[in-house]
Amino acid sequence: MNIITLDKLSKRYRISQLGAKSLREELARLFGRSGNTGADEFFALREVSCEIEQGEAVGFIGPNGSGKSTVLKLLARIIYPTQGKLIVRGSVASLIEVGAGFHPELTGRENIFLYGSIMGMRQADVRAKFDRIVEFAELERFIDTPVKRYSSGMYVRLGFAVAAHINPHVLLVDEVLAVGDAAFQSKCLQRIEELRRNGMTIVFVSHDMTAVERLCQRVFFLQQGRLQAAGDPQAVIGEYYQTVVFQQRAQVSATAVDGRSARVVEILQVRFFDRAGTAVDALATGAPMIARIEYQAHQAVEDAVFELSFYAADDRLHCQFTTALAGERLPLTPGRGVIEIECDELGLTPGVYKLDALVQARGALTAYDWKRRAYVLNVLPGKRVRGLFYAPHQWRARPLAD
Amino acid sequence: MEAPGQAGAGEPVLENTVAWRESLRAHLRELWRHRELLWLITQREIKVRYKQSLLGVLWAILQPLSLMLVFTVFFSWFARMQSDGIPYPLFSYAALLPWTFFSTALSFAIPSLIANSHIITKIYFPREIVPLASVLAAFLDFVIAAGVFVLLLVLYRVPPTWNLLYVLPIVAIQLAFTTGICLLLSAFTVLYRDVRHTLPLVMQIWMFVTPILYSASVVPPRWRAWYFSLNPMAAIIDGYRRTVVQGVPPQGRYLALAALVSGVLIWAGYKYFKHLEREFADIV
Repeated sequence: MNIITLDKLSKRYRISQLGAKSLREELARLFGRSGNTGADEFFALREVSCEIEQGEAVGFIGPNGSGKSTVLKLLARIIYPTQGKLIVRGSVASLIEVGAGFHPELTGRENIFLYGSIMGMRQADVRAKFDRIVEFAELERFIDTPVKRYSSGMYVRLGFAVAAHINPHVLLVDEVLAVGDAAFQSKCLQRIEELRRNGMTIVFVSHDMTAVERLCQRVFFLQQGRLQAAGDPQAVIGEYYQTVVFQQRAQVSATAVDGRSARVVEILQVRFFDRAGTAVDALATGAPMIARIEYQAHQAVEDAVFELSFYAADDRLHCQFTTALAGERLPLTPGRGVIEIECDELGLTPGVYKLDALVQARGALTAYDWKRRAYVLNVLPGKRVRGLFYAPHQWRARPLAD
Repeated sequence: MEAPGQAGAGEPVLENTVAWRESLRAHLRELWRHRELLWLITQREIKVRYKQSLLGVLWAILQPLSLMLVFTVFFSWFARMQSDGIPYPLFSYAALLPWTFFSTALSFAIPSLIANSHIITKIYFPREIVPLASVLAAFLDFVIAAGVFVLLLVLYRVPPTWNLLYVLPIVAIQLAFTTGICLLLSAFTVLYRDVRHTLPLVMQIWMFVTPILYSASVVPPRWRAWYFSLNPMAAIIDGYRRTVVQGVPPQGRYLALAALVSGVLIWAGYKYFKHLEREFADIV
């Protein structure tokens, strides 16, 4: 049975209505020119239709401003749709911003009852679950302290602890787990998975594709308020990457041009190939990768070092290849040339990577050429990865001989 | 681990179909379902107001009591204001008590939605709970301060009469009138912030056009019908004074009109509030 039905659901905002008006402005608009036309409008969500079944865990993904959070807020009844139909058969609780209902002057204990009630729990029910909530939040010692004295971590822990014990039909989870330490984050994810196994319907919104893939059975991809794709997580996440990369690539190629050529060695291009030798801009996790650096040497170089570094979306270095460790000397003669890296199984997880390419003399402090974040590699979901990277491996099974 | 949707032992699973054009009755049912929350938020209002204050609940008593003392000194002893033969402290306290309830309720309820915007934009619950809690908290203050009034009545040896029973419908009328205005204006304030700035002035003027410092009998008879019809609070305050202190029945005609106005106001206020409610989270 469908527990949630969205039928051509739209949410429109009037740009001029963001923020309240003063009466005078309103009167001026009423009697003056009423220049309130379509240009003033903005659709956060446009005719989105989908159905979610009881007990399903689904994810909404998309770039910022694509309408993911609008969907959650509509489901949570915080905002009202402009057009279309929205049916939710059951109670809804949201982890949209945990702890939003807390009052700083009240103690943790008082806030548990208040927040529980705001989230739709009966007082008797809160009382019954009180000890479990406090234990989950790990706040036994501070439960009678006003929450204004709590640290932000304690605040979130208390908020999540209450929300995780409400037991609604539908649980809405926004990116709430960004706060709190790693141990508590994994505790939260465990709790969400436990709830899912017990048959709760979960709607999850996140930028963390690993978490989405791990938690969700079905994924909806939103872009500019429209439903772009829906279905199997791997396929939809793949499509999401394709679309996002397409945009980022256009941006990068505009900045990658560098006019100076008075260098000893210049990096011209970095390209990727699959095993068949076809140039590609996307590769799947676990697939073979060939990266080719094209360079031009204006002088002879005795011993050059090439480096290729992969930076993830958060600008953290995820992987680096360098010829410095290859051991042998690498002399360059004047003219153009290529240097290739071959990798049997790509270990990077799905995502967009920006690349640095660098060439320098061995042991030198300055580079001949250093192209910063100048190239893009898009890694698609391929071999399943749970964790930070994919490690090439094989399994072997055999009985243990005595 | 219990199955999802089971709120607790023996609690029925609530069928919560979200429809966007609900009737007034459905709204009331939804409000009833959240009655515990209304009570908790009321408690929160009270607790937060009195926490960290030295006098605590005494504030509820202090406000009308101090005004009464000042009024007695200046208007009764110095200005020799006539008070229909009733001791002036009783005369003024009987009016200050309900007036304090009214003005406290308005001053807390009208900006309440804006003050609670951080919850409104994050969590769903029937929004009317927020202004209603402010009205209820002010009402509890009123009940506490009424205890002092009973002491005053005993002190001045005012004999109780059957007319005292009129207090119950008068309180009901005042509650309806106050709630109606609070619903209407709290929603209106979300759209137009001007209300907040004009409120203190309006309340001051309103206090002077209501028989609080003076007796309604000082209003010339030919103006009296207008005086009571245009200001339901005048009929309500006059009603308290007559029934509790003077021991006579209220002026039925004007009180009935006030009841009618209050009834229409609470209905229209609720309707208007629920109509605007959909946009609160977008605007506030």
